[in-house]
Amino acid sequence: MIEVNYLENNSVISKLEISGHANFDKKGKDIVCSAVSAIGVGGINALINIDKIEVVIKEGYILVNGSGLNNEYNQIVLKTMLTQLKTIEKSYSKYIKVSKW
Amino acid sequence: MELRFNLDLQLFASHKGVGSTKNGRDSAGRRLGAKRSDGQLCKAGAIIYRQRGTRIYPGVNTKKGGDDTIFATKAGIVKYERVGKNRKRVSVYEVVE
Repeated sequence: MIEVNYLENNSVISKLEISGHANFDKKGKDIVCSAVSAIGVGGINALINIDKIEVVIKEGYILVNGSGLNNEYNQIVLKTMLTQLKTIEKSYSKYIKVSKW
Repeated sequence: MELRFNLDLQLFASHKGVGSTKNGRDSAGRRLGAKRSDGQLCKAGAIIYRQRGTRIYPGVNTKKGGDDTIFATKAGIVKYERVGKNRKRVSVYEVVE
C-alpha cells in the first residue's frame, strides 16, 4: 500500500511524503502506481523556488519539504496533488492511503 | 518551464511477483494402461497392457517386456485374473476351433 502523509498548518502545506508500493499488480502493469508516480513527479516539476525545497525522488519514495513551499503558487500545486491523490484513494483505497501528520 | 525530474511510471510498483518461475515444464503423457480388454481376441505378439512396474503380472501365454509391457505369445482371448489377495495377472487362452 502507498502511504501519503502531509503536514498542514493554517491551511499551508509544508511537507508532503509519498512512500510504499501499491501492489496493485506486477511491475510494469501497476496502474495505481503509475497514477501516483505521474502525480508525484509531475507535481514536483510544476513547483517553483525548487532550490529552497528539499526534494527526494527514489524508488518507492517521494518527499517535498521546506520553506520554499510557502507561496501561493506552490500551495496550489501541492493542494492539486493532494486532491488528485485523494481522488485515487477514493477508488483504490486498498492500494493508497492519504493522511495528515 | 523546465521539467527537472524524469517520470518513471512504475516508481511505486513493487518487485514482488515479477520473478520468473522455475517450474512450468512437464513431459507428454505416456498413454499407459490396457490396450486389450477382458474377453477381447488378440493375435500373437499383440500388446495387452502398458505399465511402469508390474501392476499387472504376466499369466498364461503372455510375457513381460523390458519396459514391463505385457504382450501375448499366442493368439486367443484375453483374460484378466486375480492372483492372491491383491495381485492381478493377464492371460491369453487359445480358441479351440
